Amino acid sequence: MTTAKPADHRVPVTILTGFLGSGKTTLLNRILSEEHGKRIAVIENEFGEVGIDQDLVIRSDEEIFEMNNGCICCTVRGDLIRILGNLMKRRDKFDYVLIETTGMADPGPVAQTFSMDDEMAESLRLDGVVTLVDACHVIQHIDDSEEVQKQIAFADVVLLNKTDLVKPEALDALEAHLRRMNAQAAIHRTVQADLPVDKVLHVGGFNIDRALELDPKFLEPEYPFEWGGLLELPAGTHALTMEPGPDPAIQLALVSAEGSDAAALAAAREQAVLVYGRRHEIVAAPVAIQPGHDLYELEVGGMQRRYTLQIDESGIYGLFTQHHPDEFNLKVRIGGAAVTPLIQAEYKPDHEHDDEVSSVGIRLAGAFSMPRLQRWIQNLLATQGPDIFRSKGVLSVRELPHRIVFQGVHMLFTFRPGRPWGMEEERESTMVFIGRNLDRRALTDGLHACLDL
Amino acid sequence: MSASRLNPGVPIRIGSVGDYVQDLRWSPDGRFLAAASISGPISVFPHPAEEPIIVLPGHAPGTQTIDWHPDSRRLVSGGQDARIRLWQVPESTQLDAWPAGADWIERVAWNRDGERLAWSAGRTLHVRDIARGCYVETPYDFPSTVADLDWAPRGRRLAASAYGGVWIWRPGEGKERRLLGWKGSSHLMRWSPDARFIATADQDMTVHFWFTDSGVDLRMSGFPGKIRDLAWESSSRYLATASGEMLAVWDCSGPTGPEGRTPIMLPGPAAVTRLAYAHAQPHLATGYKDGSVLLWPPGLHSVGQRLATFSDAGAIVQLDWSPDDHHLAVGTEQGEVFLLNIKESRR
Repeated sequence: MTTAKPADHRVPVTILTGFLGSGKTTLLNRILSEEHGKRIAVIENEFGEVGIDQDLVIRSDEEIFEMNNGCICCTVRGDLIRILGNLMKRRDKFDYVLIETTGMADPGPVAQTFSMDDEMAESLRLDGVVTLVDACHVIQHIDDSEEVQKQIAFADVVLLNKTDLVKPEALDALEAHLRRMNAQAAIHRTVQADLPVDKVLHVGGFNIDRALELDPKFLEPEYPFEWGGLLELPAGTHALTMEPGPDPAIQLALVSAEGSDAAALAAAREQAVLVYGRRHEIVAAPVAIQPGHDLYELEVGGMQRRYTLQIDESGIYGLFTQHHPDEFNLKVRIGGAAVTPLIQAEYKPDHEHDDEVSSVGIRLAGAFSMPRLQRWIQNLLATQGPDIFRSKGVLSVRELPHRIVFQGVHMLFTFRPGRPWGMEEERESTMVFIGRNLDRRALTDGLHACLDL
Repeated sequence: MSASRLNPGVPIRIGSVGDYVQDLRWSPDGRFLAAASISGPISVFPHPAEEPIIVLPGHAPGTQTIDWHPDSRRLVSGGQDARIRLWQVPESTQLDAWPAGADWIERVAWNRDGERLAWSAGRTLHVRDIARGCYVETPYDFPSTVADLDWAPRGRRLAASAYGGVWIWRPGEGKERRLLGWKGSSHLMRWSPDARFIATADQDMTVHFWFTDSGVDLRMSGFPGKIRDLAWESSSRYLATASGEMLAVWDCSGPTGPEGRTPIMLPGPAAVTRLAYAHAQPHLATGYKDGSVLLWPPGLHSVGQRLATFSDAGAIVQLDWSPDDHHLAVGTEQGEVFLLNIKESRR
């Protein structure tokens, strides 16, 4: 099977969204003045006011209509089909197309337009959704404006603009809030929408093969464990002791780590996430706990427990436990003495947002069965499509030498071949869902059931 | 019906308009062929080519639509300067210009007697009485951008399609517009030559079909992609539809039209881009993305006859039969304009 992709000659399109006063026009003018050598077509909303003498600025009434395909969230922008169809007929086509939406616009129909019309998909490529957020005022709308929530949820890039008007602590809180809503977008803090143009154009937001691999750290804002620490352990046989606690059993992962700082802990944490993904082959009542790929489940019962810890090579190891070790007085002991972690962190499960927009990122080791995965996704999006604004995935599928890139906007989705897997590469899959009423547990379980074991 | 063989001679290149041929139309007397380029200028080629080519400036930054007055000397055009312009040919003077009413002009059309001119601009439609020099009524409003419009082949009825269906009325008679409703978005609309039917191509890859008298409608689905073109045969029996590489021809005869019938499916060399039935003959010409032009004999039983392949000129984007059906004009993506001389010789 060939994996080389033909060069993509389609014209990239960027969608600019953001509330009135968030700085869309400022950004648009900045892009046009900095990229003045390029032929950029601008499709403005009816209130737009591009101030630069430009080859082509087209004002357009946003016309949204439903497709008659039985899918209620399948809406497209009819005006864009007409205008873009016309632009693409021209001999020296444009280098880039920028579409500015009105402040109250839902980016969904714009994004869906590119996949619902085959003429359009032939000549244009949606590069990304850039959302401007007024750092000073967004907090007034973020919880009750569906439009603001959707604009943030759809974004590949968020410009947290007008940061000069807001205190640093408030900015940090706002950024954390945005991050919870959209775990995969790049967030930039700006004043006067001032930032290098390459941060907003050619971002490849819908080319997620790249986008997802950029930011794996954002994929797991919630972790399947509550505690993790790095321990220095000499080679030999040690003990792990526990006392009865609030739960009948506890899961744990032991992975090797390199270093003893926060970065080393974060790297070990990512390893542990993959180990926790192996719930289908959990090791209960182990003879000995060893560092590696196994997820252990230790029964606590009503008495003290003592497990064997087998370390073949001296070094630093990361221990990640399902519940906080203090609840079970869980200790690793070398010759009776409890080992103090070099560094540790608590991971609080975060279940506070339900009807609010949030993202769920899931990483799993192993490979999917394609028919099972397809069925599951189809069913998921058919039933929850109106609530799931965007979904993306870079997936490992059984027997395929390359990644499968998944891309969804509401109920519409595509699978395409991505980069090939390296010979030595661990097969793993990453998936992100952004929307409302997302149930992390159900999504994770559903994906698990699609693994080809 | 007698068998006939068509004899297309060598294609004649009559010129280039420099950019995508957005519209291509013979004057009713067959003396001129007008070709509008997507970037603005309109070239008028005299036929036969004994006089110089006339180039009208058209509209900046683009011309969208043109139509000949029945007198074959006046040409109207609409474009992205938000103007409707009236030109005199061959003098190439601009006789008049009107503000269109909005930036996006989809279609401009004369009625059959040439007294009235209709155009759509965004969500409004304007009808001008040319002899009196005034608008027939205040502009008609539509719920969305008017996608297509045309006058009925006879009489004074006008039809316009937009999201929500097709509206039919006689402008200036003060009556309400009649709506043939359908919750869909069309991008093409065609009256059958006998005005019994209206067909639209819809954005959801279907063709919608109305009996204009009763308002009964049918929906044809199963197309592989967007419907690129629709064309009626001169007797109104056949409706040809283009989607993907498939040319599908629907038999609309009988009281129930195409209901329950499967179309005749005719595969081509590439994606079908354009369809044109001859005016009086039952011949169908089809254009393809690879630059091929095929001709389908009456009855459509045999394979299409390859008339020409303009592989260096890009996809075929326009086809128009001369009024006497002797010539087929071809416009391409790269702006080339060719003539195919089609003489019919009975065996």
